[in-house]
Amino acid sequence: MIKRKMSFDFAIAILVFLLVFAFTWQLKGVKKNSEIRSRETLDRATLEKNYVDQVNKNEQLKNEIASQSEMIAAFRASAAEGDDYAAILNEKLSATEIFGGLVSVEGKGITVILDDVSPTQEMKDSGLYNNAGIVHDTNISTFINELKAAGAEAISVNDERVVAMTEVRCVGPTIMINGTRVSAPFTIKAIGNPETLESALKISGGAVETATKIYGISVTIQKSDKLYIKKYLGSTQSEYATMVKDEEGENE
Amino acid sequence: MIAVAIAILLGIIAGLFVPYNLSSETLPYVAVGILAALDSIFGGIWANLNKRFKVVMFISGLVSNCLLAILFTFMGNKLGIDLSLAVVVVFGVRIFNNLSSIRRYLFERYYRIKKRKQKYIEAAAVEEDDEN
Repeated sequence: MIKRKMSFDFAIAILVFLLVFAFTWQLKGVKKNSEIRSRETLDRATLEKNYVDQVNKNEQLKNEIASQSEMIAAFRASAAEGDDYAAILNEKLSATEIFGGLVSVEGKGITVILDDVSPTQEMKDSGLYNNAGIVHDTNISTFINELKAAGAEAISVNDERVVAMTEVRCVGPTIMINGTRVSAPFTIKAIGNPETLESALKISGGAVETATKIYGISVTIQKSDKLYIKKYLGSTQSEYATMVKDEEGENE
Repeated sequence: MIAVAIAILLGIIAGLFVPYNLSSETLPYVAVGILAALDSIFGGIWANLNKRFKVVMFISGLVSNCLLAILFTFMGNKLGIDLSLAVVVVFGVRIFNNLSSIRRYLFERYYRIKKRKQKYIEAAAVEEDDEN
């Protein structure tokens, strides 16, 4: 009798130990896993906070850029007061700045508006590309490329100036240009000869036809005598590239 | 009782300080293991009350239950249906059955003892009357 009582106590105690051990372990694991899951799917409040933080940071950086360009303007004004050599340099600098997109410019040109179209039943039946009606990064790139080929001198997309290292890529439902998210409708402004630019886009089998017939998006083109294109607001620092003297000595 | 209390304490400490963390794949196996252990505990208590408790039976039952539960869960994983649900249902039903058996047994024993006491008191009262 006593022997049975003792063995029962002992067995139950060991089992209870195992049970509690496994239970605690399990709780720890479940908690850890749910933490990981919650980190993967941030809730809306956190995302909103992150967004606001980022916007504030952008604002701050833009202010910084503005103050820096004021300083550059001051430097240039003082340089222009000097001798002829400085004046020539200044002129060259202005031309380079227009070419590089570092100053706002205006002139004749065209405005192209690309917009999403909600796909009609007809479009679905005709076996269009299954994302028909949505403007993609490739559409914008194609238009920019065509405009460049047709001699555009300055291009911007939703007021983001297209410069040498400008990227156009899809980020979720929006498009990232110069590190800024822009969304439809996309207004592409280009300064150049309006007739040349328009005919380059409207050529048979060209950008407009591809966009409307294959991708099913809406394209509107307006010619204008006076377009204003904002300057590039991003950073112009080169971290890796340094200048070298060319063999022919044409480096300016 | 003291042994059980010590076991609970040791279990919590060991569980908190085990350095390895369970991944989401191993979680269901430990869960069915926990259920098997709970089932064995209630089964053991019930057997002990009936004076039928044997250590060999107890341990072999626990091990075979655990193995089968883990096998079920594994098979469910491979077959794409949640067979661990079957384990949960079976063990759950058994735990509740055992608990109700234990409860009934304890209550019956309690009332039996109470009745016997009552009889004893009444008998004593009768004797007292006789003396007077």
